This record gives sequence, structure tokens and C-alpha cells, in this order.
Amino acid sequence: MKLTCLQENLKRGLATVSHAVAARSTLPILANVLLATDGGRLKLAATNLEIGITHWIGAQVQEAGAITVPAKLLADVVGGLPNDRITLTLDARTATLRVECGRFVSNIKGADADEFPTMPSITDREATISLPPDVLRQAIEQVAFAAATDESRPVLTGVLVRLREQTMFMAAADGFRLATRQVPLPEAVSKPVDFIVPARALLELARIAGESEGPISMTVTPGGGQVLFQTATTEFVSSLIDGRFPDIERVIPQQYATRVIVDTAELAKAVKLASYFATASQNAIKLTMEPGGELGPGRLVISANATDVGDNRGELDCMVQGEGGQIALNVRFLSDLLGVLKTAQLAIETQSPQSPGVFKPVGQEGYLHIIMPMSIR
Amino acid sequence: MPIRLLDATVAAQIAAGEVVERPASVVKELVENALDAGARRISVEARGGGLREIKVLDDGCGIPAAEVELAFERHATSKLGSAEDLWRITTLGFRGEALPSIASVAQVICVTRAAHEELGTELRIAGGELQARQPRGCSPGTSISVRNLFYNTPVRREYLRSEATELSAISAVVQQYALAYPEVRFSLLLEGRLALQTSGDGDLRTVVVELYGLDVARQLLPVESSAGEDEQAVRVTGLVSPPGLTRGSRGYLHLFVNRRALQPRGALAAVVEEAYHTLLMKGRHPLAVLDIRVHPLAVDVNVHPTKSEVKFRYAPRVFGVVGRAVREALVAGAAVPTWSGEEGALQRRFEVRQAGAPAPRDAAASAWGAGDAAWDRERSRWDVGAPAAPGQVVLPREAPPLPVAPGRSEAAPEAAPATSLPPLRVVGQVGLTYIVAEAPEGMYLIDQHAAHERITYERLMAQHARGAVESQGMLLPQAVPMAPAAAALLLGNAAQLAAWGFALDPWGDGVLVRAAPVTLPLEELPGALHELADRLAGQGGSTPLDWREAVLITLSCHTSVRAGQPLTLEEMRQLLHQLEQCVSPRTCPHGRPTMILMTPAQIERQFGRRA
Repeated sequence: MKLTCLQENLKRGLATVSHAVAARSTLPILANVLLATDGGRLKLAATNLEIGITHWIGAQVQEAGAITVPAKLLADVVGGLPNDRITLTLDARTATLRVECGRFVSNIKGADADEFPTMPSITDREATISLPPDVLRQAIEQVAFAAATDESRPVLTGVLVRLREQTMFMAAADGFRLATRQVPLPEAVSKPVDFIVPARALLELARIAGESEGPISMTVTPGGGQVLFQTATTEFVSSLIDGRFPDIERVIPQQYATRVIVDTAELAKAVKLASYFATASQNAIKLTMEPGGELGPGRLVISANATDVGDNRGELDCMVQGEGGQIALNVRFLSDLLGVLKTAQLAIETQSPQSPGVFKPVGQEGYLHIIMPMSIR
Repeated sequence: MPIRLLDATVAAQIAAGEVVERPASVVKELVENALDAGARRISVEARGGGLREIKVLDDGCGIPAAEVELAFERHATSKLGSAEDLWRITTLGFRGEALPSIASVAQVICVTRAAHEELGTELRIAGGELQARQPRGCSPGTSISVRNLFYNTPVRREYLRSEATELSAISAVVQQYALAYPEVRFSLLLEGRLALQTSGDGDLRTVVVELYGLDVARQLLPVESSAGEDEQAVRVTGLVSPPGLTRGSRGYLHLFVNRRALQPRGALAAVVEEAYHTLLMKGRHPLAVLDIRVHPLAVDVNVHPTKSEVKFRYAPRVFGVVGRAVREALVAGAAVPTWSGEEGALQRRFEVRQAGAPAPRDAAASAWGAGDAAWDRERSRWDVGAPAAPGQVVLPREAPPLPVAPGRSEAAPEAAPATSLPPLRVVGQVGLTYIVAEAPEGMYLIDQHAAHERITYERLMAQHARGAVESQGMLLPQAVPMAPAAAALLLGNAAQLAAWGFALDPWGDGVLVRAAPVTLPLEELPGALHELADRLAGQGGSTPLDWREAVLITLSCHTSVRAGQPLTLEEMRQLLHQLEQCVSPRTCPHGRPTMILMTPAQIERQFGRRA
């Protein structure tokens, strides 16, 4: 193998695949990155067996070949080189990769490319759906954070993806909250598909989507074990979680007793203030909704109280429909939600202090968030 | 068969059955006599498991020549004049049964001389019959040699255990009295070997060094407390082990009432152990030496012939004082358990013994010398390799009042705020389980789970007291399968559990959880509910307090970081910071220590920088 490429491209390519490198693994080869010539391009690939990322960069290939080298070492070396042309030469006999750039020469000992796990590729399959990258990214960011981080119920560490006709439905829940998002598809899917992707993997995908411009196509392997995403220069593969996602439609309230419409940014500020006190009292924050009278608008009171620390109370003007009421929430859940909302206004719907709080951004159809309340004292 | 009076020997043999069960009982009776005679030195020898010969030699007041024979008559005693005296007994013996009983089942040689007489007497008795009497020159005091015990009661002899067992029983008896009378110099020779030698310097701690070694002795916490006046007066003194120092049986619980040894069972032992509440692990018992002094009128020792049980007139009061005294000592001395290297301890113990054999008095002093030097430095400075100050190692020989006392009293102000933690600097984590930290007094190893358990325990307790254990509703109610009995127990107490943040519903093979305490991670929920059911089931008629304790311990255990969980430096700092805020940071709610200390001295010793 012998080829020349730009330091800048190689550096960025290595950064892209590095997220799939297994930092600590019993399989040493997984700490390596695969370099292989592929037509007129250099293919970089890394996998930790849960996800795999393949990225192509432009290169002048003089001699075909493949090798794996320690990912971190190569990235460090390339990162330290000047922004110039890099020549990679493989000494197949000693499995050593020679990295030349300007007046710097490094030799990196590698391992045979055959030992590297093979990764499924989308190229020989037909894409199931295709989405603009920013839409996919936003949907993932608004949903994936609600997935569980503990492994007690593995299904909940994933995000449910449900394809029906011309919509994609995503949902994640961790036992205390639920985030769902509906995205319209440009074309109808041929048959309904349901699968559960690890939330961690989707967040990696969102990062890749952020760097990509063209549409992202997606397909599920025939066995249903993996899902593949593809952009112009990157392929992303993730294993799927086996199991049945809980029946979430059941927990979505169909009506409300009080509905509040409040400014998202102002609420975020008030919640941030209250959080300093809430963290000292098991994260409890109280929202009190007071309907407006003849003279003024309604009020939303945000308060937190920690016996040993102190307390805080903030008031916001808002539109209140219904009788008003009170609900206590875990401030962490509320902050997480406010962090991913992009709309100027947010609707909060409640029934009673014991029933879930429903959050809907005003002006963005298809997003719904539910937070289970805490007890109120 | 006609009814007739038993002859004296048979009657004595029957009585002997009660008093003299085994060789150790002979030792007990004779040592008590020696103590009642005001002896300052008592030497006990036993051969052939105590059957061939038991010899007790004292330097007490002796028996005047004219009274020697009388001493071996039944119900003859110098310790009791009238029935009223029975209510103010200050001597150990009083029944006048010991000598005749022993004499009826053995061959006894009694050599005695009262201090004011010029010539002593030798008396030989066998099977209760006087064999010979002759004047004899001897030093003041009494020597009683009991040979061929039970020679005329073969059945009793048959029922004795092995020689080793009998010897250990004898040794236990002597140990008890050595602890009760630190001012008396005891020596015990078993089969010609010196098994025990106390210095008789009046300090209980030096006796404990001899019995249990220096390491144990220096960890013990002093107990001293008194209350009441006259007949109601109760005074408790002694030493108790810190919670980290425990034993698997109650055999190390030495209880004395008016210096009379009691069996370590019953209410009094329970009171002492109760004082360790939440500080002791299950199945572990403290090591304690406690002398309880009450007015002679307020205690009845005449419950059992061997006097190993007593009845108090003001029992609740006595128990209260004892319990409080022990608890106070524990709280005041709640220090971090010091790491004790097994090997080193053994070796040092060995050295003490070696040096101790030829010159016992020096042995005690030198044992203390080493202990004292190490002790002070361990508590004070963390300066590696500082040369021992001269005079610290060698103790002034004629400073008779307890070489320990100065060290102790200096340490006392330090010990007072010992419940609060020293400033700890986190070094790192080992085994994903222990936090290594450094403080002025040495290196600490902190069990992350135990430490966090203590933090959450106290936090939960505070929250519950405020009625503010926050409950988090579940989006998807979680089913926890459990046995019907356990499920019924939990559901039957749903109202109480609600105060702790649980909302439970019946469900097929278990319970359905609709809400749980905020701090309880979801993955711990099934485990916590199972444990809760087990704990509650274990305490049938549980009081509300037991209930609270059970829930608190379960929740704090399940909401704490586990062993094997990697922690960042910042997390460890936070953990220690929170631990510092705790009321009793040194033990977890189960009673295990949260931290152990390796002192510079110990580390230096391991590295051979210090002898």
C-alpha cells in the first residue's frame, strides 16, 4: 500500500471514526483503525462491535493495500504534522506503516487488516428511507436524552424507531419520562418497520449528521440485527437492541385540566435559578399555575426549597387555560427538556399533581415530552 | 430402708458435687480464698489437667494454727458472722463450703502461717479425714495443694473432659481474677509452663496486654462512670473495645460485680452489647472488661453456689448506668480503627512473651514502653523516620502509677473531637472499592460503599424526620416479582411505605411499583424491595423504630455507590466532604468501619525503617 493524501483530510477522517474505537477492550484489534485503499479513495474504519464508522477521504493511490494501526497513536501523529501532503507507505513484511510529511517520518507498527472485523455496508442494499441530516439530528437530540442510562431494562437504553407510511416515529423513555418525535418522510416506506437503536449510537449518528450536508439514507439489515446509515463520505452501523418497547401510547394523557403557555427562554432561566436549591432537596422543583383574572395574565410560579440550604421562587407571566394547579418535577428532567427545545414558547399540560406533566413546544408539530411528577409536600 | 442421717463425709461429698464440678472450680475457690485473705501475689500451678495437682500459693493473712482444722469443717468461715452480714458481703467467699468440699474429694495439703505467728502448720487431709498435722516453718500466707482430685468419686472423674480442656478452664478462671484484681500479681503455671504472669501494678490495661496482647490493649477505650448514692450507688469502670475490634463469641466479655466474675450472658451482657447498637456486625461480640460496683446491700450474690450469677436490687438502674457508660466511651473514643498487620502483631506479641519469661516486671514495662512510644507518634505527627526521643522508649522504672496514664491523658483532648474527621486529601482509588486518602495522622483507606451508606443513611433519616422523602412517580409502573408472603407483607404496610416514597399496588406474582423514593436508582428497586421484605419478615412484632431502622438501612444500602464502581477524583472529594458532615462518620449503618488508618509508624515498620 502506498498513497498520498492531505493532512487536513486524514486528520478529520480519523477524528470521525475515532468515536467508534474501543478504548478498553479485551480485543486489542478494536483499538486500531483500519486503513484500506478503495478505488481512488482511502477508507478509514473503526468499530467497537456495538457501532462501526467508516469514512472515505480523497487520496492518490499508487499501490493498493490495507493495514490496521493503533487509532490513538495515528491520530496523535497526524495531528502533530504540518498541514501538508502525507505519504503513507506500508511495509507488508513487517506490517509497519510509514507516515511521511514534509521532513517528518514516523513508522507505526500495525496489525494485519484481515484480523479486523468485517462491517456490513449499505452500498449493496437499497435504502429504506432518506432524510435531510438536520432533521434527523434534531429528532435524535430531542429524543435520545430521555433514554435510560442504567442497564436494568436494556430496551429502555434504546430509542424506538417506527416507520409507517410517510412518517418516522421516535420514542425514548427511562421510566420517569418519555420523549417522542414524529418526522414526515419524503417518500412512503414500502412496509412498516420497528426497531430499537441504542441511544448512545444515535447520539454518535447525530454528530456525524451535523458534519454532513447531503441526505442520510437508512436501512435495516435483513436479519434485523443492525441498522445502517450513510452519507456521502461516511457509513455508520449500529447493532440493535432486541426486545419489545413498552406500550407508550397508553401513558400519553389524552386531555388536560390546565394548559400553560410560557416563554421557553424565560422558563429556562427561572428553572436554572431554582435548580441551585432543588439539587439540595432531591431535585424537586414546584410549578404552580395560577389562572389570570380580568385584569392581568396568568402566572407560573417556579419554586424550590431545601431545608439546609434555602429557597427560591420565581414568577413568569403566561397564558393559563383551565383551573390552575401544582406539579412537582425533578429539575434535572425539566432542564434536560428545556435544553433541546428550539421554539420560543412551550405548552405545559397537567391534570393533577399525581398525573404526568405533558410538554409540547408551540409551533413545532410532532414533539411531545412527558415527565412523571414527584410527590408534593 | 430405714431413714438415717448421712455421715459427714457423704454429706460433704454431695455438697462438693455442687461446689467442685471440675478442677477449675477448685482453682476458683482457692483463688477467692487467697484474695479474701488480702494476698498481693497469688501463684497457681496445675498438673495433669488439674487432677494430679493444683497448688495455690498466696502471701495473704494465713490461718492461725489454732483454727486450721476448723477451716476444713463444713460451714466454717471467717467471713460471715451473722445472717445480717449476708446482706453486706464484701468478700468473695462466705458459704464456708469450699475447703471441706474440696477436702472430701481430694488429698489436700495445707501449709499456712499467720503473719503474727512464728511457726506455720502443715495439715494433710484426704477424703475429708485428717491424716496428719505438724508444725512447719514457712513464709506468711497459705499454700494449698490439692492432689488426685476426685480420687474417691470415680464417676465424676469419668465425666471430666480432656486435660487440655480442663487446663483452659483453669486458665480462664485465673484470667478472670487477674482482670478483676489488677493490683494482685498473678502467675499461672500449667504443667510447669508459665502461662500467665501479671505485674500487679494496678493498671487494668497492663493485664489486658498480658492476656490479649499489646495491639488489642492499646485500642481499648476506658469506661468510667458513676451515679447514685448509698444503696443506689453504681460505679462502672473498665475497658471496652472500639467497634472495629470484635470477637466471634461472648467469651471476651468479662463482667464483674463488686469484683466477682459473672457469666457473660443474661441481661447485663445484653446491655453491654446493646450499647454497640449499629456499630457491631451480626454475630460479633465486643471485648470488654467491666467492673460494676454496687452497694453490697443492692446485690444478691447468693443465687448460685458458684456465684456466677447475681441479682440486682435496682436492676434497671444498674443496666442504665452500664449501658450509658459504654455508649459514652464508644462515642468519645470513636476513632478510626487502625490497620493492624497480622504478622507484625504476632511478632511483637512473641517478643513481649520472650522478654517476659525471665523478668516479668520488666516485661510489662518494656511492652508498654514500645507501645507508648508507637502510640504517641501514631497520633501526633506524620514525620517519617523521626528518631525516637530518648527516654520515650525506656520508661522510668519507678514511675509506678501506670506508664500509660500520661499518654492517655494527653491523648484525651485529642480523642474528644475524634468523631469528626481529619482533613483528608484524596490520593486515589484502589480496587474500584477503596479510596486512598492522606491525613496528618497517616494513610486512610476508605470503603466507598460503606462511607456512602453512612451519608445516605443520615440524609434519609433527616429527610424522614422532616417528612420529606421525595417520591418519584413512574412512567411505566414497574412489576417486581416476589414471593406471595413478601408481597403481602409489603402491601400490608403500604401506608407506612408511602411515608418512605413507595407507592405499591398488587400485581400477579409480586407488586407493581407506581412510585419510588427519588434517590433509589431504578435498577436497585427490585433488590431493595426484596431486602425490605426480608428485614420486615425477620422481626415479627416489630416496633415502629425497628421498622424505621429496617427501611433506613435498606434504602441507604441500595442508594449508595457500589464497590467496583469507578469514581473520579472530584466524586471522591465530594464523598469525603459529605462524610465529614456526618454525625458518626466512622461506621456504616451495618456497623462495619468506613475507614481504616495505616499510621506512618506501621508503614515504616513494614519498610524496615523502624524496628
